[in-house]
Amino acid sequence: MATPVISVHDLSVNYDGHQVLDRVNLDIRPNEILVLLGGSGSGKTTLLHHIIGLEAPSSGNILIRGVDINNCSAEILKQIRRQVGVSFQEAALFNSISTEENVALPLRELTDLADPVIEVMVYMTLAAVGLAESGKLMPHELSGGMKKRAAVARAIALDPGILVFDEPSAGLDPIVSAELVRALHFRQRNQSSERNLRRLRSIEASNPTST
Amino acid sequence: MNILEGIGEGMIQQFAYIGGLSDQFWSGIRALPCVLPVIGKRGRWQEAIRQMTAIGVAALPMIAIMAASAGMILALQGAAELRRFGALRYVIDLVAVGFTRELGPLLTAIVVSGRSGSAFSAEIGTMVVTSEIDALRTLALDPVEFVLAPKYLAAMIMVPCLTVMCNVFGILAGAGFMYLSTRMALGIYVRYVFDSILLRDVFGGLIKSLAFATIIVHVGCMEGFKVRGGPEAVGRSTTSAVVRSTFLVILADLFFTAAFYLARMQ
Repeated sequence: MATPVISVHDLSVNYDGHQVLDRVNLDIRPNEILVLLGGSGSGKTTLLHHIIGLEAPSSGNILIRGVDINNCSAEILKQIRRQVGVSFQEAALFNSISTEENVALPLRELTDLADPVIEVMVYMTLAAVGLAESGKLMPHELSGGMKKRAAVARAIALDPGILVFDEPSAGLDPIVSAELVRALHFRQRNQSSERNLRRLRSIEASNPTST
Repeated sequence: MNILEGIGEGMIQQFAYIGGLSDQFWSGIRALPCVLPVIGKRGRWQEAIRQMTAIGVAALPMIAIMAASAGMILALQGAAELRRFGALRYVIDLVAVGFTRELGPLLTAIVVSGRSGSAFSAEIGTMVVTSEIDALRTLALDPVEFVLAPKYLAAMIMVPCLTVMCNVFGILAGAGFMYLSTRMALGIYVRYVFDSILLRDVFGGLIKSLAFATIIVHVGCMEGFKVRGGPEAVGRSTTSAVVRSTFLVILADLFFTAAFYLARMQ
C-alpha cells in the first residue's frame, strides 16, 4: 500500500474547553479522493484548517508527505504549502484584483514563468471551470457559484499535488457542480494528484474512501 | 478578579501588544526590499504606487486646508499677544518654527492616521473575515510581505512629503496674515522665514514624520490582522486603529521633542 500523502494522528482540538475534534486519525494516499461528510458544526472545516496548517492542534500531529507541519521550519512549511491547493468555503478571492489576476497570483508570485505564458495558463484554468469569459470581472461582479469556481481555478493553477476543497459545490447548480467534478476527475486521472473533497452531497460522481 | 489582578492583566496585554508591534515592525523591515522597484518582486511596486496615491495624493487637499487653517490660527493667537509688545514680526518665527518642528509632522500624522490608518485596518480586517489572509498563507505568501510592505513603503515616502507640504501651506497662511495686518510683501516674509528656521528643524520634523508613518502603518495593520469574528469586529478595529495610533504618535512626538531639546542644550 502506498505511503499516505496526508496522515492525521490522534488530532484533538478544543477551543476554550470546548472539544471540537477528539483523537481523529486518517490517512489519505496518492490519487485518492476523500470526502468528509458531517453535520453543521461537526468540525469539518476545523479539520481542514489543521490539515493545511492554518491552526495548531491542541494535541496530535499532521504529516504532509511525511513532514510534521506543526514541528517544521517556516521555510519547509512554505514548501509544503506550495504543494497544496486550497479552495475555501467562502471562496476567499482577493477583492482588489480581477478574477484572472486572482488565478494568476500564485503563478506570478511562486514561479518565474513569463507573463504571456501565465496569461495562457490562466485562460486555460478558467476555461476548465467554465469561467473563460469572466476573467476580467472583479470578484464582487461574480455570482456565488462563479466565485467558488474561480477559487477552484486559483487552487489548481499551480498544479499542486494535493487539493483541499471546503464545500466546493455549495451554491452551484447541479449542472455546473457535475462539470466541476468531471474537471477534477479528469485532472486526477491525468495528473495523478490527490484531492480531499468535502461535503459533496450534490456531487454524484465521486468514489469516497475514508480511513 | 481583584484590582491588582486586573491591573496586572491589563499590563500584560499592553506589553503583549507592544511585543506584537515590534515583531511586526521587524517583519515589515525585512519585507521592504520585496516592494522596491527592479530588485523587488513583480507587481509589488505597482501596489506601492497605488498606496502612495491613496495615502499621499488623495490626502493633499485636506492637509492643505488644515495646515492653512492652523497656520492662520497660530498667527492670530500669537499676534494677539505679541502685538502688545510691538513684536508682531515674531509671528513669522512662531509660525515657521512651530510648523517645521511640531505642527507640520503632527497635523500630517493625525490626518494620515484618520484617513489611511483606519483604511488599512478596515481593509486587512475584511481580508481576515473573508479568509483572504488565510488564502495568502495557504499560497505560501507572507501577509506582512504581501499586504503590509507596500503600505509601509508608500507611507515612508508620502508622509514626509505631506509633512513638507503641510509646512509650506501653514507658513503661507502666516504670510497671508502678515500681508493683511502689516502689508508685508511675500518676498520679505520668506526671507524672515529662512532666517528663523534652521536645517536641523526641518530634518527633525522629517525624522518625526518617518516615525509617525511607522506607527500609523503598523498599528493600522496590526489592528486589522487581529480581527476575529464578523463585520462588527472590523468596525471596532478601525476605531481602535485611529485611537491607538494617534495616542502613540503623540507619545512619540513627546519623546522626539524631548530628545531634540536635550540635543540642542548640549
